[in-house]
Amino acid sequence: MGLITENNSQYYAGSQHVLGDGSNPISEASFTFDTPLSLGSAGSFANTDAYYALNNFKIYVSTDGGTTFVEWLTEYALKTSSTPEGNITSIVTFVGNIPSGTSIVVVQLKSLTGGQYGNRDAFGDTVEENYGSYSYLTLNEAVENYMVGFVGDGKIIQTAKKYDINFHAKRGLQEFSYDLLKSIKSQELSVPANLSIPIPQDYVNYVKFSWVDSLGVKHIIYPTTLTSNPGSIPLQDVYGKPVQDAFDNNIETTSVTEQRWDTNDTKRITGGYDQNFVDADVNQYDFNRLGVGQRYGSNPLTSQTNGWFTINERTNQISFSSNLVNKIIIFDYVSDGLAYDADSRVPKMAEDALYAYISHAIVASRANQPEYLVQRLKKEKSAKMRNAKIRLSNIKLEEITQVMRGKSKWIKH
Amino acid sequence: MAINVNTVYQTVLSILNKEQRGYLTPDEYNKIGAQAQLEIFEGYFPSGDQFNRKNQNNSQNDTEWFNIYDNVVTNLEPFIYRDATWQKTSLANPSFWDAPYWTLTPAVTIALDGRVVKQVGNVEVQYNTASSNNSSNGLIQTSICERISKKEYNLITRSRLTAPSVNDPVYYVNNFNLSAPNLRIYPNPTPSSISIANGLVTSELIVQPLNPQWNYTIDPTVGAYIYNDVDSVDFELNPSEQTDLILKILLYAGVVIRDPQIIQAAATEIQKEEIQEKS
Repeated sequence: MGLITENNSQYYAGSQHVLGDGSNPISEASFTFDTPLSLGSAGSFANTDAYYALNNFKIYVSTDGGTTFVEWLTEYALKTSSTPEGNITSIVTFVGNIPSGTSIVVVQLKSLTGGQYGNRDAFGDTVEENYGSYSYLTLNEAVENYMVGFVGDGKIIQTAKKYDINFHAKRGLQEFSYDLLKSIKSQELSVPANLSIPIPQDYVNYVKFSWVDSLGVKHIIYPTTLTSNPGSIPLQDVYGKPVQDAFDNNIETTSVTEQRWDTNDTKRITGGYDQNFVDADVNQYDFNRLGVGQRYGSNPLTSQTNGWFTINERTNQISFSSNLVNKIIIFDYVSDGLAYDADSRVPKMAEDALYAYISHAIVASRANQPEYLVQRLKKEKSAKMRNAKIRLSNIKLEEITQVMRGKSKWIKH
Repeated sequence: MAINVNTVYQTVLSILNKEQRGYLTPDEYNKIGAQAQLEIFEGYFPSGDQFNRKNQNNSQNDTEWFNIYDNVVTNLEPFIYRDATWQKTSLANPSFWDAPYWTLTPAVTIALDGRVVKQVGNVEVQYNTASSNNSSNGLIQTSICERISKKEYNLITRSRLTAPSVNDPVYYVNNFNLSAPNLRIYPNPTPSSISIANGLVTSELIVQPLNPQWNYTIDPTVGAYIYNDVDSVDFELNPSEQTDLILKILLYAGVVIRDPQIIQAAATEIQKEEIQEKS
């Protein structure tokens, strides 16, 4: 049996039809999308309901054989259930006014294109969120698969509690997220006047910061050791001792270091010209003129115009240098894959590596396991993680060839 | 299918009386029968464990009829009660630390007909993940509850990586009152104020067999015991256990009538059979 349960229309168009039998009214209709149908509230079948916008689908009914469709806004109940293997069925039960037996009932999941029924206004991203889902399996599926395939009589792990497997699977996903998976998250932000942005909710570590020029090209922003954000700024008395408030705690004041850094002119550090030539526009006349090379011996660490960032541990914010104010930045960071349900998924390319990770973790953490078995599983884990890393690195021969062609061209000249 | 209580009694009597050795009264037979049946029933568990080691070390045969482990499971089948339903029960005046617990529904208690619950097996729980203010946005799913101890519960709920969830619920036996065991299930499968799919909890149970009863009337002329199948209770063991059962009853009967030869003969037979099965 194939693993795909959605048909082409459900996947690509996000729609599914139910045809009446010609005589009996359609009192109930079942829909089998991978995405559970969801109403904002029990009454949000009506567009007058406050939670109507939270629905992730719209129902349309055609009474003229599919020529025209009208959105169905009268009462229906929704019940969604899942089989143990994860097949989802959403049942719509019409109440009172029921589509006739000659009708066609269509559920259209919300899409960036608005769908193709009625006023084509089923706007949302439910359809697009499901695209590419076949390349992943959920962490829960991975754990269930592991319990079936690796735990039991006659297997390496005779018995294991599921919470143990869950623990190691989640730890594995965390470790994989840090250095194996492509689970880099990113935000596009604008640097405000206070030059600081809060650390994202699911942040674990940064990958890079870039600012975006007028051509949409990214320029990397580097961390700096030129300045730092103090962790504590106690107010001092004339003897240099911290002053306490009425609750016996040290009084904190504002940082002069930060104030000076925020108000500096970075060109005094970079040695840049008054005029900034920052776009990656190689046809710009002044850009080429600057390339003549008049700054031999300058330190690249400080003589670049892209700005700097620091992580302020005192305020848990990321602070940027003053030349980046109002700039659009892209913030790439890694999370641990467990922050949200949607994150807890494993690329199929790394599925086997996760199983190997769990096996090793379980056996290695148990007493009285033969050392040869622990070592065997350790090697297996390393090999499979390496394989997964290579697979997920997307190393394609044609792309490497293209890069090499560029290199040879440069050498020829 | 069961083992007829009268057939066993008559067989035992005919063996005992072969050389006018003695007589086993119905009352003694009923008591010894109950003991022998329980002994065989309780023997399934260590046997199952022992025979399962063949599965664990990959030396079990894969035949349809001669897999000894499967045969033990088959013998246990009459005592497995499937799809036992549980209902949520709350204390009348619960304190804030009194979590709701789950007891067998009256229908199951009636069906068990006085049988004692020995073990609670896999517990399946139906969850509805709808939020309490909207019954239409949830997903109804069935999850298998893992049995843990209270100590384990205290440990795993203190880690966010292992805390029970609707995908991985757990239960522990709160109070194993033999006639009315009750469980605590986490997360609690009854979402409040949601009308659809209130938590449905089912499980398998292993119950102990009912005691056999050889019921009789007394012949008014000769004073003999006459078997009365009304109100008699058959042995609930698999019919294939009849030989074992008779031997075990004979063993105890030998003790009752103080005949070492009977004890010796029955014990030898039982031992022979065990050696054949377990070697």
